[in-house]
Amino acid sequence: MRWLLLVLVTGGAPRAYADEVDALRREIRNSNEGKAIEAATKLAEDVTPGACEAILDELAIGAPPKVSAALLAGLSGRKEPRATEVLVLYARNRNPELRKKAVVAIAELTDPRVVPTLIGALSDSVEEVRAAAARALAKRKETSAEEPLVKLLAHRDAAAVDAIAAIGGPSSARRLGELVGQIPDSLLAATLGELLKRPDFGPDPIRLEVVKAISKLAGAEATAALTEYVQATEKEKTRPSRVEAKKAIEQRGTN
Amino acid sequence: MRLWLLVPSLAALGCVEPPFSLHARDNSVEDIQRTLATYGASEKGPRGGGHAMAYLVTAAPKHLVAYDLTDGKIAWDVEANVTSRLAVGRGFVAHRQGPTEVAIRNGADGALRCTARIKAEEKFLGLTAEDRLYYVVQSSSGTTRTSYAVAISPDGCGEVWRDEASGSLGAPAARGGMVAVPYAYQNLVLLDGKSGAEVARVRATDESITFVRAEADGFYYGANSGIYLLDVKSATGSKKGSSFTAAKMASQQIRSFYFYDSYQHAQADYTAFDRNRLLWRAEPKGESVAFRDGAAFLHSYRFFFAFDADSGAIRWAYAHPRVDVVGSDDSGASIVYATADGQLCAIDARSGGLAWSKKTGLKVTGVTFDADGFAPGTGGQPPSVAQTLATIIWDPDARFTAVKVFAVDAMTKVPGREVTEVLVKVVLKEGMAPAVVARAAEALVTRQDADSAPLYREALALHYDYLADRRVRGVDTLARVSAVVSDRESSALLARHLADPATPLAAMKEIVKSIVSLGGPEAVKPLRDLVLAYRCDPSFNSDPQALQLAVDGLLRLGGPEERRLLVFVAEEKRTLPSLGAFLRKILVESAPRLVPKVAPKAKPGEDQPDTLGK
Repeated sequence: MRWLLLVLVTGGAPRAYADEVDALRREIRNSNEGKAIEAATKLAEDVTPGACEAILDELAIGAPPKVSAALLAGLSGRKEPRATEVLVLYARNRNPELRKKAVVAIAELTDPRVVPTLIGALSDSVEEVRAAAARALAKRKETSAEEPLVKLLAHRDAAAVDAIAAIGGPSSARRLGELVGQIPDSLLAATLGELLKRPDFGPDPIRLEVVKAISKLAGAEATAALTEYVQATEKEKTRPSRVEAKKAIEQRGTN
Repeated sequence: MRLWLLVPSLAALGCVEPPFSLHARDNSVEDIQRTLATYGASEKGPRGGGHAMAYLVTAAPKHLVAYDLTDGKIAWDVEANVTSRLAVGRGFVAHRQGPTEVAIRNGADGALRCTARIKAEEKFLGLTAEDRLYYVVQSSSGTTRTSYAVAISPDGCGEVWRDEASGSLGAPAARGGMVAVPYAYQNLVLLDGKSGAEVARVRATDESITFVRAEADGFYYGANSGIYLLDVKSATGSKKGSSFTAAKMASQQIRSFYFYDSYQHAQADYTAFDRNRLLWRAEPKGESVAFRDGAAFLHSYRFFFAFDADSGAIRWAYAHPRVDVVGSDDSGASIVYATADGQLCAIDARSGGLAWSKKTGLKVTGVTFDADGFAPGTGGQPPSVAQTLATIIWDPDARFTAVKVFAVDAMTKVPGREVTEVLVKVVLKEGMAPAVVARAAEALVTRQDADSAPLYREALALHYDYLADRRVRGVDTLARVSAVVSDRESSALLARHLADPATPLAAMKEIVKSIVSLGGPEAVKPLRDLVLAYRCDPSFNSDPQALQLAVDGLLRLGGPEERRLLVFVAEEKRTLPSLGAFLRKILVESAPRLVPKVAPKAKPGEDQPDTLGK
């Protein structure tokens, strides 16, 4: 049982420290929400294992949403594997702010439940939650998320641009090509342009296809993407994709 | 003219009062018996005496077109400003023409024979024909209303007789030399067709009489509660004592009319009634009256339903594709109808199969059939009732909500997975009218089709998905259905919906109820997670019922550990007041000897039971 574990953990910690955590926990359970949030924020800032355990326990018994939000913020970056169970549940909470914070926090963990939770959050009804999930998947370089991220872009979610740029491969590039005319050119140009910036994206025939796809798009974003690519490949003047990009820029200039 | 004074034999019958007199004898067995014996029966078949016909009224241009149903061709087509329903007599047809004339035309070629003038201040109530033409008009002066029943000759439109009545008369009906006229909402006055003399009168004591209809085998009258056969029992005046019957329908959703309200001036012309009505034929049966073959038919827009008049069970349903039906009739063997784009069709009354169909290309606004006995065949194999009802339900026309609800109601009486599948789809489908969804949901719950449990689970497996553009509806209904069919396999699926943030609060209540109802150890965890996750969430303040149901379920399904959790939740000060109060109450009620003591002060972490996600 968690509370027994907690007793054991806190029992082994220095008394003064344990007293401080206990005091914060009492404040967290204060019916004055302002004081509770303040205490939760303090506990969240405490990077010791005891504080982490206390955060998990407070989340596990349920708290008002604003207090829970402060506590969840404290789990971000801790890479505490014991947090998975609680975070998976909070990633499905009815409160979107809590879902978002849970998604951010769980992204640090290595548990096999993490990726399905993050991919699931791409289908969330709230844009901020989807964006948090997209960023988390990009940060993890989660290539299994390519397909749902392309779908996210097809739904015109701007959060997908950077995520696809971070993890997209040849298959993503092909799928993006199919979105011409379905989503705003600016969004598509930005995504393809970001893909081209990645040194590990390729080989060049794939880059060439991406350049051709950008060339078909209208607007300043497409021109900017091509221009940036030409500038970034200054040292490889004969690279076919660069030649194609340069040609496209010239044509756009004449048109 | 008061020809009745010149008919001493009628006076001898006892009718010494003028027609429509306030002092005339009514509900006299002797009068009615003598009248029924005196006036002969009509012949079966079309009133015109020849082929089965449909008379089509078109608007642009204004024409009257006679269509020979027997030969399948237009018999004649004449320019005519028809402003009433059409009456078919022997060798002639008649209608109001413009606002101030009654026109009589040859039955053979539609040529105008003659016209009779209606005074500008008179309202036209309706007409009927046999050997003569009979019509009713009404004039008002201040608060005084005077009505007239008039008979004119079909040859020169000369007035044969004119009866005056103080008060309201309804549209007449004629058969066997007798004219029946609703009078003052309570009476049916029977007149001699030749003289206009009143020969008998029925006075209804239970309800009003708003119509009378003449068929080959008798007069039928009544209001919206059902139909009465005019026979000697009519003399009782009461519903119970008369030969009365009413059709039970599969649903009360559609307001059905046995016949139009003949006191309404507007109903003298073709109206919405012609597109939404009951079609029926009746006949004397034993000591009373019954619908022929025990069937009645509902026509609503372009849909037809045949149902057992005694049980309401649906026999068949027919959906005419796309175009509205402007008028219909029960010819006995067939249901005949005409569409707005000029198609004439006949459905076999027994099977519901389309037996006959012809296109005229006319823009039809009204139709009168003279097609008694028209039986072009039985038609092909009609689609299954379930299939047709489903077609009606999926029809995209938003006007048909009532018909769709009717179809759903009718479906509940049809067994089988095919119907259950349609009902599930209705519940899940986006854009369905709420009334249709609500009825389908009730139907699913009440039919308790346990064999379709895999179908419910398949639907329950679906969740909201932004990327797949999927919204989920009907989870509450599926939860209820899973519970009523005791499908324990659905518990896990229900638990997933309970934890899904896209599940509406209202649906959560039903899900919790169902999880509790299905029971089992697997029910405890989702309930516990729900309570702990939201016990302090003010978004449940306005409606804490889902949480209350969950704690109640936990108390019933859980063991000592859950009870300990609930004591903790009840006493913890951040718990929503409405939930805490409810919980304390049920804790006391469920274990009076174990009233939860206020927990001794403990360090945080020492006072809590098993927690979220455990």
